[in-house]
Amino acid sequence: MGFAVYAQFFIPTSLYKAWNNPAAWLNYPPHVPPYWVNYFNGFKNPPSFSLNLPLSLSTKSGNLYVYTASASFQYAYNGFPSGLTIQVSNAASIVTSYLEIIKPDGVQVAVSTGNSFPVITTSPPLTSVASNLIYKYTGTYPATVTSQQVMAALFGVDGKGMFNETLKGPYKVSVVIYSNAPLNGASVIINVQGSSYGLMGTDYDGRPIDLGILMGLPSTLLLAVLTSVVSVGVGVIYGGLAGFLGGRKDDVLQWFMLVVLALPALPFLVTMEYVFPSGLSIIDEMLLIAFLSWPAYAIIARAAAISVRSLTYVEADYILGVPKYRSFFTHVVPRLLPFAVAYTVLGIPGAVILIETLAFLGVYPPGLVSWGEMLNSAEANQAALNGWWWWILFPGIMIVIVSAPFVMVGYAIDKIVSPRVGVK
Amino acid sequence: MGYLSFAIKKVVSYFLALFGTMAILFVGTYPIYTTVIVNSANFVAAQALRALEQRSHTPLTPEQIQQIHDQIVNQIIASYGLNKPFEVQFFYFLKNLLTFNLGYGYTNAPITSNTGSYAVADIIASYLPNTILLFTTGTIIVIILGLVIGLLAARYAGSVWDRLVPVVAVVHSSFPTWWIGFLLIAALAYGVHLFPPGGIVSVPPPKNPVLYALDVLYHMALPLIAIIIVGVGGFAYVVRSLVLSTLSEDFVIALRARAIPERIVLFKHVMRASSPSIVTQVLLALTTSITGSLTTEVVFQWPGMGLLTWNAIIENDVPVMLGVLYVTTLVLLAGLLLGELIYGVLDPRIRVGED
Repeated sequence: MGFAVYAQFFIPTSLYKAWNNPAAWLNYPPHVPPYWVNYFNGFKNPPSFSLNLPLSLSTKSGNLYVYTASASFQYAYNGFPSGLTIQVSNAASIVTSYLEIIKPDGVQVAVSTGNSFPVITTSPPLTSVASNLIYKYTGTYPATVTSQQVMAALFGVDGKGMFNETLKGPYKVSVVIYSNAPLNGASVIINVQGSSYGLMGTDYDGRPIDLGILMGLPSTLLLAVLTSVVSVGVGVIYGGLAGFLGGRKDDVLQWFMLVVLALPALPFLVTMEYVFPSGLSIIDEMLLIAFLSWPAYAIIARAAAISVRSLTYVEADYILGVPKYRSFFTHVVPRLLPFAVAYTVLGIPGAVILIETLAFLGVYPPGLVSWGEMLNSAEANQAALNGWWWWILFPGIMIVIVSAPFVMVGYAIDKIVSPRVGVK
Repeated sequence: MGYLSFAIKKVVSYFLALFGTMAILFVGTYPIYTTVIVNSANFVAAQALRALEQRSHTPLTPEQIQQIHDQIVNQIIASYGLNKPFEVQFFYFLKNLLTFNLGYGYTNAPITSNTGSYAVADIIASYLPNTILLFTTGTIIVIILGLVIGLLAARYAGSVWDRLVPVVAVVHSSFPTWWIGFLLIAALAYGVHLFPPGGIVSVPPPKNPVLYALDVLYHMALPLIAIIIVGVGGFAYVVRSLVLSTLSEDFVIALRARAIPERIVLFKHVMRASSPSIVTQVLLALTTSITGSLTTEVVFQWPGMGLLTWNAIIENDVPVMLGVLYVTTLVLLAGLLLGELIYGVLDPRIRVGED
């Protein structure tokens, strides 16, 4: 609950808007495992780090300003980073840029990185340089150069073991920027993207899983609780009335119960998404799910109400001429209330699963982050095939973590309100 | 009231329910239902015109083309009753549905039946058996395992194993089946290559029928494991509760007083007494499993109704989606009716009516 409140109030709304915008996550390492895998594999998955390089004006000829920036860092990890990006804050006037890296063994890599700022991913421009370096180290040209191979060329040792062993020591990075307007106060940030991130890793676009999980929590809880409250409320009153009234009225009420019970939830909701092409809001989705799930509770409430109806004091009320609606509220409703509470709590996990299943199928209110949608993109990007287990494991485990307490509390209440079932 | 009149009463009430359910579906899907029909009418008219143009020697005038087009479109629209008042259209809808005249899927979408037909009824006929195969097998295994575990837990009530059942029930029933499937694929299919990651048969499928059946079983193993993991705990818990409540009844005490062996008390008398409630649970589980686990099929690429729905969403094939919705509703109602009828056989009290 605390996490939900935190996510609701402390995560800026801009982050929710940015979630589906891949450009906003370029600085994050894509599909890397959580940081703690390092404790199991001998620190082969370095975390990300960034270097802030202050720009200094070196020459100015006419309209062209040339800036340089440089820094050095120690690299001591056993594994390779997953990428390297250059980020400049106000970048509209930049004409082109150059990146130069000097490795601890003195090998120098220089490449033109263009002007597609604010964030430049350096693997594509480095491809041919990396290919040459791999030839220099191993004696053969690689058939294709992946971004892992680029990183191996930049951070690997000289020799055939370059893909397995990193070259530790001081690295020197410098950036030259040509701009046709002064870049006052701007600075260059070099992001060395690690091959591990945070508590739960990142997905294909570099989005941190832990952040997504946190952002999905409030809407999931809200939807599940609302759905459960509404459907149990409607179901218990409806079923209570049906059981209490009996006869013809009961038959009609039961008929409608069966009508709704026969609607298959998933295909129905998916089709509704097509009937309302502008998308369902949270309230729409809540009402639709509640509309489909109340009959299950109505059946239970009806059975309970039938047993109440034949109690002596209810029959006494009837003989005394007490209006039916009054004995319904004085005798039936209080006896159904404990059931209602238990089933509201027990209904929440079911609602969570249904909501996430729908989100997995692409039915969820727009503008929200949901775990089902995260798992959907995991499926679409073949996370299982690629072994990105953290992307599958954590969003799903959250569903369990959110559901399980409600089930336990529900079972506990259920035992108290129906002592006949809970024995010993 | 005899069993026959009970059965007739139930069948009639389910037909009335079918009527109501279809009314809701009709009103709910009316906008897309009409669009689909008009679209397919336009498509048929365009095809007919093209064929006509190839055969005729003189090119048709624009007026002629318009006239023929309108004629064909109006004919099709009339056959669905769309030119009639709203409430009459419903009866056309119902008639088409009950005769499985579900229209045609979009021909630009790659969804066809085994034989390559675009008729929605044919498509569903080739996908539905796979769903039934997977989920009936899964549910039967869940029932057997759940019965055994639940009965044992009830017999040794209070032991460590008995205390474990609710915990397992809680944790396992909070798993979405498709997510478990996902993990199983990652671990057992791609991790250790023990099972195939998806599909129903190998490509190419084996020729020998025995090998073919074995191949299907091999592909069914992972989805079955997922269904069992999620289902068994909750079902065992329900069985345990029902059996325990029967165990505290007077006739059990009487049986025990007569020194009848505990085994016979449990498996003969208690089982018989609690079987109606258990059967209700079983049938509810079966019917909901058919619609509820659709997503599991998507994860395992199992060519059943779930995967069909998923493909229809991806390909935007609205006619197929509507067809799936209507047919699953029919299957669900049929399942519920069957449940009531079996319940009537097992528990004679129900036939008298609750009043």
